[in-house]
Formats: sequence, structure tokens, C-alpha cells
Amino acid sequence: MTGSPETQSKSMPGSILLGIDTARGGRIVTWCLLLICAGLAAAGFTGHLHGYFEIEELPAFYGWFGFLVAIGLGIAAKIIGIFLKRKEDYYGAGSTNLEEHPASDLGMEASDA
Amino acid sequence: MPEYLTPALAYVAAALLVPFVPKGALRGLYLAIVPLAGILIFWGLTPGTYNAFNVMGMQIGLMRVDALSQLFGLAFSVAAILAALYAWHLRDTIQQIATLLYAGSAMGAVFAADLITLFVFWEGTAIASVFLIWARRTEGSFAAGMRYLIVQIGSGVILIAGIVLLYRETGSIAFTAMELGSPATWTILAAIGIKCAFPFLHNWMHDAYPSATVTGTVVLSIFTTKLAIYALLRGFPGTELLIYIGIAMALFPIVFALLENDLRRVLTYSLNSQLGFMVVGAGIGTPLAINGAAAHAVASIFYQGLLFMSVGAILFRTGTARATALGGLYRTMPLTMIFCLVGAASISALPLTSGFVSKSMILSAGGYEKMFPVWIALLAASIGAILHTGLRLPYLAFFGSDGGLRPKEAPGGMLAAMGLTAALCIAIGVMPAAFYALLPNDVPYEPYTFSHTIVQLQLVAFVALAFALAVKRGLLPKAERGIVLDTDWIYRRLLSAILGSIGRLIAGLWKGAGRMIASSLNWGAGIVYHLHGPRGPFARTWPTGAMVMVVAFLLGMTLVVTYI
Amino acid sequence: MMSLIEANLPALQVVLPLVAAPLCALLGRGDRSWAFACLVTFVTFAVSVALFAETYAGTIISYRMGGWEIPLGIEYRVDRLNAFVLLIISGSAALVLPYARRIVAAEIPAERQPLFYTAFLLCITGLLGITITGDAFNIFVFLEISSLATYALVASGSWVNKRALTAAYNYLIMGTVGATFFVIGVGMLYMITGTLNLADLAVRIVEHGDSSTLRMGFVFILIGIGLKLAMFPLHLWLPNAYAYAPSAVTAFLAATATKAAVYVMLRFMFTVFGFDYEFQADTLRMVVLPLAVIAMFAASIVAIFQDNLKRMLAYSSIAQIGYILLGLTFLTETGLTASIVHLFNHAVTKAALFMVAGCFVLSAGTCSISKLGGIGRDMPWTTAAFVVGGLSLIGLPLTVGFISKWYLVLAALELGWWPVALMIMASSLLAIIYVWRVIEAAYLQPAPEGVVRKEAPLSMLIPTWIFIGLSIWFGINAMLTSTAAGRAASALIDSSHILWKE
Repeated sequence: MTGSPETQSKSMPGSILLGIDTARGGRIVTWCLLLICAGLAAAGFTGHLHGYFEIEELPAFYGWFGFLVAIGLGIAAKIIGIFLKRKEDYYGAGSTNLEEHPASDLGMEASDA
Repeated sequence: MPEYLTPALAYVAAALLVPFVPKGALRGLYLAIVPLAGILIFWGLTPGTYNAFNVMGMQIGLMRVDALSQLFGLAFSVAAILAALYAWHLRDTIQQIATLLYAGSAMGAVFAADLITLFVFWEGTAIASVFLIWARRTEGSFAAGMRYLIVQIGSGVILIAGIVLLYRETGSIAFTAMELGSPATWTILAAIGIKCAFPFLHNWMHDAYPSATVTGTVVLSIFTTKLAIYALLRGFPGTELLIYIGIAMALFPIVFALLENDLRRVLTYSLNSQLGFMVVGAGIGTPLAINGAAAHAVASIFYQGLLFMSVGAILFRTGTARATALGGLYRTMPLTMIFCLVGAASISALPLTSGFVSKSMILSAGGYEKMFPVWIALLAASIGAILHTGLRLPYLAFFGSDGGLRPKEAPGGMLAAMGLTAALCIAIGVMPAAFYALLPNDVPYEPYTFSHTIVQLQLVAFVALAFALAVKRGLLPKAERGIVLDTDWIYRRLLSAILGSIGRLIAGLWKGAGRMIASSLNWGAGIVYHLHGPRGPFARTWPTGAMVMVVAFLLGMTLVVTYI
Repeated sequence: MMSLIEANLPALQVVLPLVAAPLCALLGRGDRSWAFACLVTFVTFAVSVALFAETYAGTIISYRMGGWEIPLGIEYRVDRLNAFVLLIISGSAALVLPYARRIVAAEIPAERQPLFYTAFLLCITGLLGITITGDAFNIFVFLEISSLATYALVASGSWVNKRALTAAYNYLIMGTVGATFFVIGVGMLYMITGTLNLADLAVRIVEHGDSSTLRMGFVFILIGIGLKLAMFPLHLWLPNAYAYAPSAVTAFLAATATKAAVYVMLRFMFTVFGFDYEFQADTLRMVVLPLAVIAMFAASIVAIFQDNLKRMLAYSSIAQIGYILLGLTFLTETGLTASIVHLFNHAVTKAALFMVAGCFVLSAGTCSISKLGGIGRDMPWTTAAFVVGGLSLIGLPLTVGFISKWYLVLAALELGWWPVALMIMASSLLAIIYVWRVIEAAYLQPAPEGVVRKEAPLSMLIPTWIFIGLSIWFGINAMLTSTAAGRAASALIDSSHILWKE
């Protein structure tokens, strides 16, 4: 209770990563990923990649295919979600969606850091 | 070897003794040692069928030892040990007994050489496992457990029907590879399909697993579905239909996994999708594909178990597994986060993890057979797995928007279990040769070629990039409180709505026509009760004269029949 | 000495309890008569085991009473089938009597107990006699002995509930009608053949050819025995007789009385009539088959609505007799095997369940299901016995109930009778409901307040659990029972003239 919230967080076990969930941290992660991707795409040209199908011969096929499918899946899920999402009480009161997990099964403790 | 010995027996005997072992460390140790005893029973035996005997002219075999059954038996045993460690803190005798009986039934089923034994243990897994759901002891979990039990018992009933038909057809109950084509084999496939969560037969899993206790969900994720995969590999290898079922199964859960808010349910969908890979492997049926499916099943037991464990640890400490309430947990649960990331890396098939060496076998098997649609669909499903479980799940739980929760790190037993499971995932990935030696078929396969490693790294990296951009640009569904409709809607809402409206319709008709026909008509149970109830003619104590009249009538009738 | 006993085993089987019965009455009150009756049943059981062992391989023992030549004299004839039934009857008696001491002491005044045990021994005599004899009129005589003893036994329930008297009266009327029909039928057979020996009858009926007297005789015997074995709708005497008889009597009767009658039915249908003429098979298929199927459903549904546990089990018995008769009407070896194996399996299961009901009566003073709330906690072993027995009644694998249903379904499928097979399974589902009702009351409902219920005494628990143990043992290891039943079935088929036998 003595220190400011920031110093309190510093003493937490996972403090090495502190800040990764800020906007700045996100940007850094994104840029790192971009660099890694570029590096891997370049590495793909250093040797001949053996595949089973012709499509795999396309340059960095796995890279752009993965990228496009991932974006496509995200958008598809967003659209389907419009139709399938419901409130938690949809199946009535006697449903595990609505109830809290019983405390007897838990060991809820706050971090002492 | 005694005639009735099967690893299941060790588990059942141990389960009976659980109440007599003092709670605490001693019992924890006891529960972790039982699977070792199970291993001792089958390990090192030369392949063959043991403990065979004859019942009513049918050949029962309790212990079929070959590479496939040993592989699954070993994986189940190790997973049971890890699950026991994970549940070290647990003081609930019912769950402990249920876990042992459940694991034992699964072991018994894996070693069953005949279908009757398989059926007995098949139902055993259903009955034992439901207590892991009921142990949550809430109204919702009771209802979910009931639905689960009905489906699972139903699967067993269908299985025995199929067995009876098969016995009629072939006169044998041996559990060997079958050809689809007769009603018998279709029925058996349907029974396995339910347990395996084929599309449209799948929703029991997503309904029930997230409704179980913290430890119960972990245990449930290990056995039932992998047992079904084992049954497919044993009973229907090379059945073409399975390829298409498997593809559908690998693809459709992706959307649900991306939409779900409950992280345990995200994992059941991702498990469902991974099962699709194995079903495809069973369907392709080449030695490499069978190896791939078996390897992936074993790898998935561990990495999927690891993921369930880490989410369970979060639930255990925070009281919720809803993504909306979580986020930012890396601060105080760093070890859990690391273990979760190992699981995430494995399901993403990152090199040096178990997923890489197992999943690639199935894709390669599709590639060797030049099945382009199969291959591309599985590639897309792999991308989905990286997206929803490899990235989204750890992101929502440990990073993402800070939910403000600062829970303590998971307890020691959980950490130990997760640590060992994570080590196992990496060990399999680092030493594939030792792992491949356990597989049923002797097919040389080298996962770590230059091109394969590089393209898989490309895939993961680019999907990660896409994920980062999608999160920023809002191209992914937002995590928000709520549920996603699945086919259980059909029986939880549609069916009850239909029955309700039929009921209302009949009630309306009944009221309207009531005055005219009430005396002559009755409805359903009413009639039955009228006839069979305590005061009905079937149950009433008849006067002696009336009894004799009945006798005389029947005598007369029979005489008439005789002379016709 | 040993050889003398061995040579006269068939006679001993019946004479022993017969002679012991009046002695038992002379022994005076209390435990002495019980101990004596117990001893007699043990020896009787030993004799049955010896006979079973002797015939298991296929030998047929033909014993001439008093050395008179057949067919003039009375022949006792033991083959695989009736050795099996003898074993069921004397085995049940040997287990029920040890069980009976405590519950009889609670239900019957001490000075009446010697007479009770006398009647019990006479009842055993009658049932064993019916089974062992090879003479049609002798069957009638023993039928009367067992019936008269049974009426007395049922009526002795009146010390607890006066309705036992009307139940016994109704049973007496119906039983007498049945016995009369039977003897009329036998008389008609005698008219056309001039013999009463069963084996001889079989031969002469063929020689004599079809006639309306034969048909009349056939129908009278069918209905007469049908009454005795409680074939639906001739079962009306049974629920009350079982419900109001003393608990030990119910357990014994449920295990044996109807079984002996079924045996007579099998013997007459296959060995004596032998389906020489088409009308016999037709009658079975047009009358008995539908009635059996109706019984499976109607009686099970009635059982669902019963509140009195003993009455519920009684209705369940009527449904189970439906299964036995159904197997008979298939007229195939598998069908007969199912019937015969179910004779044993049902005897074991139902005896155990009625014994549980008796334990409830002793400890809780009631067997009304609505008053048994929470009894699973007070009487764990007794209730557990009910659960296992109930599972066997439903026909779950690893219980004897499953073995019977398995053969029955198999037999139906062999003939391609799909609907019948489905109906067998559907009616099993009804059993789940009525068994579940009891389990629900016993475990899930709260105990009525202020009620103290002790676990049943060991002298009752052990016999109950022996029956339960048997129902599990022979459910897992069905070799002995199914082989014995299968052999008996093939012998029956061989002795008949079924044209379509394979």
C-alpha cells in the first residue's frame, strides 16, 4: 500500500514483460514480427523448397497464404458471429454459461507482490 | 498371467481403495502411482492377445498388445499421472474415484481385443466421467452432465446395436478393421462418431467440458475423444468418408473458437478441430497417415492437456475463464503463461515442439497421395489453430487489455504438472526419432528438413503478423460476454420450443374439444395411467368371478384358434 | 449304502422333503423346526446337484417307482432339462430357508411356525415332484400338493395383513381351475392313447393321429398350465398373492413356482405334443406370442405405477414370464435356450429382489416405495443389493439379465423378427423406469422423520447377496448356465417333431 501502482507492479514476477500490453509495446511487437517475416521470406530463397504441389513453388507461398487465410478467417468469424452470438442467459437460468464457477472448486488468491 | 487381468483392473481396484487412503499428500502420491501400475501390466509384453476366454461362444480378449494399443495405453497412463499431479490440491474423493475409473475404462477399451469388452469400457468412460461434471455441484452442471450422459450412453447403445448386427452378420465380435457397407458397420461408425465429435454429433463436448470442475475439464480432455480416435484407427483405417468428415471437422470449429468468450470453450473447439486432423489421417489410411494420426493424437493429448491445464489454473486463481474478465495476467502468473505458450507453440506446430513432428506427418501423407483439396484444407485449419489457440488464447488471457486481476501464481501441483507436460511437448519435438519408434507402422519420416522447417516458420510468423494487424485494425471478432449458438441449440431450444408449442396446441385443442370428447379420449400418460395405474383394470384386484371369466374367455378363444 | 442312495436319488429328491414335512410339524415351536427344515433343504439341494452332475453329460435317468414296469407304474425321469429346474428349485429353497428365520419370526406367531415350515417343505415337495416325474397324472398330484401348500403359505401372511386371506382365496380358486383344466386335458389324452406316461404319450399321440379330442386336450393343458405360470391375462391371482404372502414365501415362490409350471409347459409342448400337427405351433404363435408381448409391456407399465414394492416386483415377474413364453414361441433352439436360461436368471434375480423387499419390511416395517425415502443411507448393503438386482432386471451387461435378453434378441433376429427384437429392447427400458423409482426414493429422497431403520441382519443379508453374487457371476461367466440351457433346449427340440428344425 506504500508505493505507487507502478513500483508495485515492478516487483511482480512477470515484470520483465511489463509494458508489452501498451500501445507502444504492441507497435514494437508488430515491427519485430515484420522483421522476422521478412527474414524468413528471404531465407526461403536461399535453398530449394521441396513441396508436394506446384502451388508451393510460388515465392513465399506459406507466408502470404497464411497471412491471407488468417485475415479471411477473422473476418469470416466476425460475420458469422453476427448471426450466432447471443446473450449469456439465452438458455435460461439453469445453465453453466450464466453461473459463476463455485468457489468450493477454486483456490482464489491474490498475488502478494 | 491371470485370466482377467487388464490395466483397467488395476485402476478399478485402486479406485475402490481411494476412500481408505488418507487425504493429502499420501493420496496425491497414491493417485499418481496407480497409472504406473497400469503401465507395468502391459509394458514389455510381446505383441499378441492375452487373457482371452470364451463367453457364450464369443471370444473375449481383454488384452490385445500391439504397437497401437501400447502407444495409446502409454499416452493415457502418462497423461493420467500428469492429471493426478495437476489435481494434487484436490480434496474431493468423488472426483478422484471418478478420474481413476474413467482412466481405467479408457485403458480397458484401448486394450480390448473384442467389441463386447470395448462396449463395456466404452460405457464405463461415459458413466465415470459424468461425475467430473456433476462434481461442480451446481444446477447448470447437473443439467449439462445429464445431457452429456444421455449422448454418451446413447453412443454406447448404438455401439452395442452395431455389435449385435455385426455378430449376426459375421459371427465374430473381434475388434478389427471393418469395411463400411453393411448396417452393422455404419452403426458402429456412428457410435464412434459421437464420441469422436464428428460434425453435428459434436456439441456434447462444447456443452459439457466447460461445465466441469477445474481439474475435471483437464481429465475429460484427455480420454474420451482420443479413445474414439483409437477406435477409428483400429476399426476404420482407410475409410474414404472419414477424409471428408475430418476436413469438415478441422475447419468448422475455427469460427467458433474465434468467437467464443469462455476460454475453456475456445479450447474444446480447438480440440475438436485437431481431432479433425486425426480423422483425416485415419481416412487416408496409408501407413504414414495412420502413424501421423496416432502421433498427433498422442501429441494432442499433451499439448491440448497443457492448454486446458493453464486455463484451468487461471480459472482456479481468478474464478473465471471468460476472456472479457481476464487479460494482463503475465504480471503475476508468468510460469503459467510460459507453459501456456509452450502449449500454444505446439498446437501451432512450431518447430521443436510436438505439434510440428506429428501434424506434419498427416499433411505429408495427404501430399504424397496428391490429395490437393485435403492438403490445402488442412493447411487452412492449421492456420486457424495458430490463430485461435496459438495466438488469440494467450493474448486474451495473459496480454491484451488488462483485466485488473492480480491473482497469485498457480499452486505447486499445477505448476509441476504443467512444467512436466511442457517438457514432454518439447522433448517430443526435439527428439522425434524416439517418439516415432513407438508408432504402429514402420515408416521412415524426417520432419526437420530445411524446406519444411522454413515454410512452417514462415507460416507461423506471417499468421502472427496478420494477428497483430488484425487486432489493431479490429478485423477479429471482439471478445464480449455472451455465448455462441451451436447445434445444441437444436435440442436445447428448437426441440423444447417445438414440443412446447405442440403441447400448447394439444392443450388448446383439448380444451376446445374437451367437453365433447373428454369422456372418450384421453391423452398419453393419462390413458396409460388409466389402464395401468393402481386403479386401472390391469392393476386392480379383480373379483374372483371376473378372473374366472377371463380364463373361460381365453379358453374359448384358444379353442377357436385351434380349429381354424 | 452309498450305492443304495445313489440308485434311489430320484426318489429321494421327492420323498425326503415329503417325509420330513410331518416330522417338522411334530418338532414343536421355535427354531427347532426351522433348523430341521433347513437341514432337509440342504440335503435336498445336494441330491439335486448329484442329479444335475449325473445328467449334465446327457444321460437320462429313468427310475421306476416301486419297481413297476413302465408305462403302468410311475416313472421318474431326469434329463438335462428337469435336472436344471430341480437345481433351481432346491437351490432357491436352500437359500431362502436360512433367510427365513428372522423374517418369519417377525411375521408369524411362534406357535404357528412349525406348521409354516411344514407347509414350506410340502410346497418344495410338490414343486420338485412336478419337475421330476415322468407321469402326467403324477404331475397333477404334485401340482395339487404344491398348490395346497402354497395357499396355506400365502394365507399365513394374514398375521400381518388380513388381505392375505382374500389373496389366498383367489389364488385357490384360480389354482384349482388351472389344475382342473390340466387334469381334464390329461384325461382327454388318456382317452385317445390309454397311457399317462409322458414318453409313451408322445409316441402314441403320433400313432393316433389328429383328432378333436387331441385338440381339446391340448387347449385345456395349455390354459391350465398358463394359469399356473401366470401367463397374461391369467395372472390376476399373482400380484396379491405375492404382495401379501410372508416375505420369505414370496421370495421362494417368485424363484420357483412359476418356473416349475413353465417346465411343465415346455415338457408338454415339446416332448408330449411335439408339434406333430400344425395347429399346435399355430396356437402358440397366434395366442401365446401376442399375449407374451402384451405382458412384457402391460405388466411393466403397471409396475411403474405401483407403490407397494412387492406388488411392483410381482408385476415385473409377470412381464418376465412374458419373455420366457416369448422365447418358447420362437420354436427354435436359441429361443428355447433363452427361455431356459431365463428360468434360472430370473429366479436368481427375482429371489434376491424379493429378499431385499423382505429386509425392508423387517427393518422399516413397510415396503411402500413412498415410505422408503433415504433408506439407502440406513441400509446400505440391502439397498445396494437392490440396485444390482435391479440392473439385472433391466438387463445390463455383466448381469444375468443381459444374458437372457441377449439370447432372446438373438433368437428373434435369427427368425428375422425385427419388430419383436425391438419390442424386447423397448420393454427393457420400462424396467429402467420402475427400478429407478426405487433407487430414487432410496438415495435421493430424504428419510421420513423420526424413523429408525437398522441394516438387515446378516442371516438375511448373506442369502440375498449370494443370489446377487450369482446374478453377477453367471452374468460374467455364463458358460455353465448357457451350456446347460443350450443342451436342454437341443434335447427338447430333438424330442419334438418340429419340421423346420435345422
